[in-house]
Amino acid sequence: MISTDQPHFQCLGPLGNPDPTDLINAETNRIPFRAENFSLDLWKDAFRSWPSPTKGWKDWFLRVSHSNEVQWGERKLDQCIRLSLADMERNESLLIAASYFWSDTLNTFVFGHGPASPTLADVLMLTDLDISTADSSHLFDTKPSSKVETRAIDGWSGYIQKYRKQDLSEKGSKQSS
Amino acid sequence: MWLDKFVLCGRSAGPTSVYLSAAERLAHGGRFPLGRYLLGSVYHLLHQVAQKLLLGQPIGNLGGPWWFINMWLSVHMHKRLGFDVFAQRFPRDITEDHELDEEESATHPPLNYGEAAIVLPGTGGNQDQVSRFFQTLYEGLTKEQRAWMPYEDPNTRFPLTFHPFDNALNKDHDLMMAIITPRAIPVNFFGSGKASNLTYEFYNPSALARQLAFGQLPIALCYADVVKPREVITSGLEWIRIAQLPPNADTSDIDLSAWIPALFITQAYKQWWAEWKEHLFCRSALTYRGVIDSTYKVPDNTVSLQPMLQSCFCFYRQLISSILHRSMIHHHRSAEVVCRSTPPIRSDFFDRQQRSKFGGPNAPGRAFKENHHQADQDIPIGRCCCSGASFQGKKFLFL
Repeated sequence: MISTDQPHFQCLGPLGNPDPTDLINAETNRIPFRAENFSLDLWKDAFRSWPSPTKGWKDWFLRVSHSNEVQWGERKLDQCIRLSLADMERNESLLIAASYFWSDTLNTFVFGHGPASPTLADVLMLTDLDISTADSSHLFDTKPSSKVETRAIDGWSGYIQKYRKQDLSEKGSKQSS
Repeated sequence: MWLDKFVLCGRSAGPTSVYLSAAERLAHGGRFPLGRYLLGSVYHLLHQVAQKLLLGQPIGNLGGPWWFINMWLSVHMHKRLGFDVFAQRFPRDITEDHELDEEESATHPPLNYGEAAIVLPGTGGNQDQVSRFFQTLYEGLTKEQRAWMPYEDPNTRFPLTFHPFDNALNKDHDLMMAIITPRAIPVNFFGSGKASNLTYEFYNPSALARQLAFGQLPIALCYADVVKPREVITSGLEWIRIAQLPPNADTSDIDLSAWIPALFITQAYKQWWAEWKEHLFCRSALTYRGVIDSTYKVPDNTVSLQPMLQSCFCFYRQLISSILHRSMIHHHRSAEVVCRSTPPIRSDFFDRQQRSKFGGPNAPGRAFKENHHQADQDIPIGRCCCSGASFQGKKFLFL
């Protein structure tokens, strides 16, 4: 932080080079819209993994949420899991248009009104997921101890059919989270 | 399943066991910063998309948390799009076959920003819409439409969320430190992912100071000289080293106790951005609109005028630069082409100017030198400091 002579107002450092010449030279032509590849054909399959409503998910959620509410709250999963109840509409045009402004050096969108990007504060406000635990117990090299059937079960709804009957306390709830 | 389908959105669009070990860890009470993992995937997805767009390759099915980017954009643009986040309705906890009474509603008012943002309306993808959004973002939101800090709830209308950046949050030191500390955030770090995919992205909060209720300075990349971006991680130890790598900034002496959330930009940032903006957005937005949307008729007068002026300017700069270097550069191309295909400024030209004027390429720039006599030399460029650097009051531009 860099303080100002107005006692409580603070800038967030570090302070960059006030002369943007190097940045202009290195970065300007790396912002995607400069390449002018605007064909919508490029975007044909881009949103295939968009979460779509799945039969059985909501019932499953209701069943396990009662027994897991406290646990989910403690692990800061509650708000985010609940979001999956919504059948979210995609603002595809906006997503496509905004992607042309992404600078992967700054990790921000560079819009006409200035750089802007999702931050951990946004993650916190929108999903309430854990952002502050130290990352020491990383997931690297861990192998799952249980197995789930993922092939030949007819996608997500088949998956729900297969695993919904299992006991609440064990697999059902845990794999859903 | 929740992790795979709804959060990280695996590309297979069907069940996989990629996220199983993460799910097990969560289920067994292990804690890890899933929020950071999510942001890591967001940045990485946009990186992959940007690369493909630059090369003109199809985006293909990358999977990834588009939903979060969608939510963020909706919130960032909510004033422009006319969304009232408080007027949204979120599905109630009722079973799928529940039959509603006449008076009964299937929805309830949202409890927090997430629930409000996820039910905002969308649009399909078509040329006309894309080109309109492009123009909006290219020209920038007007001052009234900007929502740098969109989470304002002065009347506490969302019961399950605190008023951000006010009491609860800025007193929670750990959370606030997590938000404002630059760090490497992991990408694809789930047990059974393909080994070659494990990598990281950098989180640069200082580039987004306004969104975090701080003053905005010219952007510094605090990992730029520390470690290469997006290297492949091959072992757990390697990741720990990267995760603990201190940024090129001192974060040890941050004191939030006296901080009052206020977003403003400094004069230095204003000039920095004005200069970059001039080069980045040197053509008319309408010209791009015409390229995106083949049916859009670009008005003749708008198109020809602005790019011409802009490119004349680029041309002029280029000319000065070439004269100074006593090199013969033939400008037979049209001004338009000069503007688009050459680097905007010759860095050596500016370096030379800078050296003669300020004593070195790394010396603090004009903005600080001219108006600020006390502490400019104490601020090492690219480093944080908490004391000893005070700006003069006149330099703040409150937004």
